[in-house]
Amino acid sequence: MPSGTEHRVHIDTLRYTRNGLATRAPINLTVGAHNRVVLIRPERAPLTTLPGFGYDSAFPGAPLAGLLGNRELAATLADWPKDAVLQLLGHANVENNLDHNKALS
Amino acid sequence: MLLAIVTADGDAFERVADDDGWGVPEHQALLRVIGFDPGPIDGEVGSMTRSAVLDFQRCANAGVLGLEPESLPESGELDATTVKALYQGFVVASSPSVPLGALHPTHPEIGCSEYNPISREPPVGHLNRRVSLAIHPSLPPYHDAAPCTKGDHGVCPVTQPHNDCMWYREHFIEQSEPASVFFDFQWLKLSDGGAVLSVLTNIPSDELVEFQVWRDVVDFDGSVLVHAGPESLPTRGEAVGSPVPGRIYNGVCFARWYAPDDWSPYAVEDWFVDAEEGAGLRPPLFSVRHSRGWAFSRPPGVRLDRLFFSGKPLPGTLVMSNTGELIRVPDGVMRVPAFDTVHLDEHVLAVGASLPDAWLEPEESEL
Repeated sequence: MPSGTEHRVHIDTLRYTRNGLATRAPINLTVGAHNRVVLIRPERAPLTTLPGFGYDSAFPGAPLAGLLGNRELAATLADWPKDAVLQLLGHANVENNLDHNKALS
Repeated sequence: MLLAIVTADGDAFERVADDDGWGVPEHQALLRVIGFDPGPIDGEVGSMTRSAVLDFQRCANAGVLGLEPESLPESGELDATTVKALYQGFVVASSPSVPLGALHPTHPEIGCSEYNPISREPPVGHLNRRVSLAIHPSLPPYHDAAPCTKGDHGVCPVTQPHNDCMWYREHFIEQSEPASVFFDFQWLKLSDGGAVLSVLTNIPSDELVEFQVWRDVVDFDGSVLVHAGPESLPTRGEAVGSPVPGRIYNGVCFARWYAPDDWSPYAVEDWFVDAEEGAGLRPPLFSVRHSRGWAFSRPPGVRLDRLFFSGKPLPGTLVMSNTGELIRVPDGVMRVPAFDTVHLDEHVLAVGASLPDAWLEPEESEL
């Protein structure tokens, strides 16, 4: 069977659904040929836990002590790659609104 | 809040603190974290809190907290200007100073804590939540495609089951460091011979914890054992008295404890009885236990920065610090050199009648 079309799809362009990942638009395949869909996965980011973030609280005392004492994090930041991008995971608050933040908790 | 800290944005920090109605307990905890120990985090402005505030005001006025020199009243009172300076000092002292350009441009905060548990094992819920710092090697090509910008609010579009977030799995790698539930242990010696044992924690307030003091801990190797498992506390040395119930308030877990009449944890000379060089040190430790885990403290000591700020180094005081630790003193930032010390792993124990000047040689600031 002849070779068909190769589609390269980055996973971040897919849609998350309760039935799994789905493309946002149909992919055209060649009839009567072997088609190939290559799923491109993102480069995964190392995740460092910030301990001590109290439930339902904006109070940072304990987690900040954790930040200060976290040698692994300090070492990571010391070797901060020039193009690195930082993201806090686990407490989304895109609206920067305290009520919204508490609602999340 | 965490973004304000990470980026050293003192104004944003102050806004959140004001909106949240912080008071004396929060200010006590902030003082403690940046090295001015107010004693128990009890919301009461007692003599220890006033002393800590006064130390802070003096240091702020001397410009040694990474801030411009302040003109705070050296009163020991938590007035509005002192609180504002405290917020600024806390943020500066705590921030890793990430440049704004390094933050994710569209989603600096992402993901719900339901899908970012401490452990993938039960319990499910608020006790098993955390906040993590993700460092992307470079900006992801589809960085604005994140599906979970609404946290726990609303319907999650990501596949179930619980704690099995596809987005999380595809984008992040866990560091090997386990999540700690206890850190920054302190023995606070009281004038009546007792002590306040305390440790910072992420356990919510009003949950039950238990402290126990141990002596003759012959296998002490300088490490602080932290574990998040439910296993029973291992025995380290001989238990002194009965366990003491503790309480948790605003991230600080503490209990008041009294030694038996015939023994003192501060008798440093006893720690070295029968000790061979580099091994066999027998300091007292305390343990703290909760259903989420347990940990052992370091031996009782007096922090170098507090010693210096107080201006009254005590004979026979044990000073304990990590090698190379940066200490804030009124003349700048100092590094603790190895001097008359016992090296145990990466820690340094030092016993001396006073603090020699050689300990305080200035180096290039790294803060």
